[in-house]
Amino acid sequence: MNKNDALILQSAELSPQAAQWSRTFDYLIIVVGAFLVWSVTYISQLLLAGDWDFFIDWKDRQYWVLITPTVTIMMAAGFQAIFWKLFRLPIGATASLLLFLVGVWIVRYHSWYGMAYFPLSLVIPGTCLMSAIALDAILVLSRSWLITGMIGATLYGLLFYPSNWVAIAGYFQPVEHMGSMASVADMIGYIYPRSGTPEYIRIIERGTLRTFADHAIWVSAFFSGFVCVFSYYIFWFIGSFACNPKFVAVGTRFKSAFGGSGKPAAAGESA
Amino acid sequence: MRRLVNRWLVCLFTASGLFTASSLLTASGLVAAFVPLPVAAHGERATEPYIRTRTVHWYDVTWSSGSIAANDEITVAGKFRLFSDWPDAASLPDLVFLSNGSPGAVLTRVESYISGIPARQSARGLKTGKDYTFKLVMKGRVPGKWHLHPVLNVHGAGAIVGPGAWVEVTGKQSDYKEPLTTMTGVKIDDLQTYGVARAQMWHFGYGVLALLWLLWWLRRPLIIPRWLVTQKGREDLLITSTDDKVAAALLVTVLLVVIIGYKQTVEEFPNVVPLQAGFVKVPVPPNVPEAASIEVKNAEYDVPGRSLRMDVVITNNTDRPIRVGEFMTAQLRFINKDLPAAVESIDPSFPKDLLAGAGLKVGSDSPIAPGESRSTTLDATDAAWEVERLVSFLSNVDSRVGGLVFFYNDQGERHMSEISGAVVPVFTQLGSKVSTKAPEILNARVD
Amino acid sequence: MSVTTTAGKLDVRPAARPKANKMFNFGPVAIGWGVLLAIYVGLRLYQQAFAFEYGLDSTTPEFETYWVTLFNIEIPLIFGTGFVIWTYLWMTRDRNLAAIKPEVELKRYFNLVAWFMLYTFSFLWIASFFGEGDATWHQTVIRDTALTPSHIVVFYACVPMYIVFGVGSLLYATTRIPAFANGYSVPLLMAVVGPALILPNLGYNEWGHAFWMTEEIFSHPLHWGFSFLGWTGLALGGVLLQVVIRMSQLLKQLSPVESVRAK
Repeated sequence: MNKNDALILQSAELSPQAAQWSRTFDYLIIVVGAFLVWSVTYISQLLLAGDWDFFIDWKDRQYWVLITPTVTIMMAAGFQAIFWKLFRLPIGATASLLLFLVGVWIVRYHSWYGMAYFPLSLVIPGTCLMSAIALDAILVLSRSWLITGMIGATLYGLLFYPSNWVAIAGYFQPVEHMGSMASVADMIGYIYPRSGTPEYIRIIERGTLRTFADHAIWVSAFFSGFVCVFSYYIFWFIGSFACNPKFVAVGTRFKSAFGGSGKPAAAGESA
Repeated sequence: MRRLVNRWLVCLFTASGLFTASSLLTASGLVAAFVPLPVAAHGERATEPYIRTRTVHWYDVTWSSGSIAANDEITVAGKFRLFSDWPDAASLPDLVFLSNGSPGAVLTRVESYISGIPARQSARGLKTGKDYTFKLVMKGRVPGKWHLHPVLNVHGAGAIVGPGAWVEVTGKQSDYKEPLTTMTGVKIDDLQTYGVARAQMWHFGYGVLALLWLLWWLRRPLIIPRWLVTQKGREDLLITSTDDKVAAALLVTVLLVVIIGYKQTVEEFPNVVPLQAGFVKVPVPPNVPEAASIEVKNAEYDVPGRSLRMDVVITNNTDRPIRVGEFMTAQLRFINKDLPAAVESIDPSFPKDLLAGAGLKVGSDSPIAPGESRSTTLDATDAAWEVERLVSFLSNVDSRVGGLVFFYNDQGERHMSEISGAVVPVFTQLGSKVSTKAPEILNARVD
Repeated sequence: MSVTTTAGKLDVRPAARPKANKMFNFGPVAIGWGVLLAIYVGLRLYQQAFAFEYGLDSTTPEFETYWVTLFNIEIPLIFGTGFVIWTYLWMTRDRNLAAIKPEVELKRYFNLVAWFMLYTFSFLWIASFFGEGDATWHQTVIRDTALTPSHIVVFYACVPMYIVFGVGSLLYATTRIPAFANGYSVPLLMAVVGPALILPNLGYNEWGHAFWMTEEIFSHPLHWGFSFLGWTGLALGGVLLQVVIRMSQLLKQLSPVESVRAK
């Protein structure tokens, strides 16, 4: 425990005994929080942008780069709001994306590889972890969700593509197959068949491309940063709303089940 | 406290019950895992009969082998007719993908073609009433006995599964390799593992950075003290100037790692292409006049007898006499065993469970002369109607069935015609109306 | 380590560990986790052994034996167990909550957190482990029934399981902790009822898959209900605040600090 920690306990007016109980409580909440952040982030991302994350042959320039950050920043913002507003802890986004990444790799091994025989190269995930760290760091530096939303969320969208390109660029080398060109990623998707997933249901770039200097990805990344700003604010508010410690009154019949106490709720109502 | 213990004992007891149950199930299952495999399908039996009998009819399908070693190839080839009387409930085959049904990536794709056109991509422009050839070249990967079907995925209609045959993959999975050389000359030893370690290394590095950040905060007094301090407005105690410096350093680190990493990666892979997503266009095959037209006068399915019986009028449009050799629907083949040419048409690799034992009974089986219109009955009886769940037209919104009829002329040449119409279930022998029902109330269709 | 202050000067040094007044017993949680883990791993091994073997064709007798049987067992077993636990919690409720001692109340807050440790742990398995496993199954094979080997585990074992612990948490709080008995906790209701609604949402999911969604796109709007209902888990933030507000009062009540003056 350093001097600052001591000052915090002093300011909180906690006795050593209370501080010890409180630290036990901290550990328990870290565990509950980890499971909660992990699962809520996962179920949110899984069913809003899962397909792009599952398969290497869904990681396109148009939608993957746009949708993945837009979706992952939702829970990053929601949990950031909860931890920041209540405890001034700037860890919500990082925790959300780190636990999600850990979970993703577990599932890629146990399920895609372990049950359905798919090679891991088909199911390389993307990650917004670097974006999330930047988002938390900017929250610390600015102490403001408004500024974090403007600058941090834009950066969140912009960082996604380059921080993933370092990991997956090799999958986009050109290959010749049956007389036409394909990327290595296309080939992996083609070679390892998914009976329930025909090629045409890929929601990927298929249309026209009219952009300056062929920099299609950066157009998507920039747009992604723009959408992330709104996604961030919306979910910051949802996270804030979720922190409302409201109790509503119960009826007398319910009260009588516990000894008929007619007192108002002890905690929370005034907060 | 006693209450607390009691409560946990109850929880423990009940949870142990669940655990025991699941363990028993697992154990019983593991024991049973050593019993021989049953004949299995891939879910196509639950597909509605009007889709299975009136969309994609696969014929002349052959499997180049019944057993291959891991890393060896097998070819499934044949033809399919896109049925003219395509059901309204299924989207037309405007956008399709040629695939295969197998449990995971036990077999891998090497090449695939529709009418000779490479079909790595989805294909557009297919028309009903036309015949297409297909070819799937697969490679054995995971040792075991696998059921290999051709599948045509039709956008909006789902997977339409072709006939399946057992293929045994022998050897070891480690024998399987997928080497590849890119157009820039980069040699990839094995696509299965290519790039995985690289991605994991980056993700691990990012993870370490994130973990350090979390530990930087989590090591401190957290929840209650920080909330109490927040309530006092002493944010200065919670976020210190050291925290500012750490956050700034972290932000700079993130930006540097990403920018430098990206720059180096771009230099490492100067030639990259986006995902290739254009659809291929399959040319429309020329019109082939039907050798014989078939008018269904009456069709009924005899529920207890497991028999489809049809009153038909067949008109021979060719200049040679023809006989009915085969009725095929939903991959089931009813062969007229009295016609040697039809019997000889069965490829040895064709799955026996899709050949109806009793075959096809043709009421008037003598050759139909050129130009002649012949009234006759076709009787396709087999338990396969039940096994394949094709009788569920009794519970479907569209109770029409269809199929292909193959004719042979006196020189052994084969012709093919479509047959389709409403089918009426008959629950007792007394209810049968074949050959007795008035033609004007029938919902028959002539091609 | 401990901190004592004298006249505004900080003295940071190891202090004698206060007499153990143990508020939290980790044993039951560890046992709970162990049992749950065994069940989930058991179910996963069962899938490994029989999903592809007997689960591809819902019309076969083997599917009946291996999968429909599991479905028929797990639903009554899990909900039955849940019903026993819930009934127990209700029947043994504290009928005189007004007279509760602060120490008991504080312990019960710790116990409530123990319930959350089991609730969130059980939710993780559907949200992540078996949730994406469901994608593996349905994007790999052709769907021919609503009761696939994947759904029988993820929807009809994992969902009832976390509902048992969610409702258990709600009932524990309501029957033993004054604040939660005197008023309905809105965030707690959200955090329990929201994820529980995933079970009826399956009706929409299967209806959509039966009638108009023939292929598996995980990000399809048909599936968004799962994500939306998952977001209600955020409301545990509100519950945490409710807990923190009361616990901080109790901590100070049980172990007051005479010498410390707040800055």
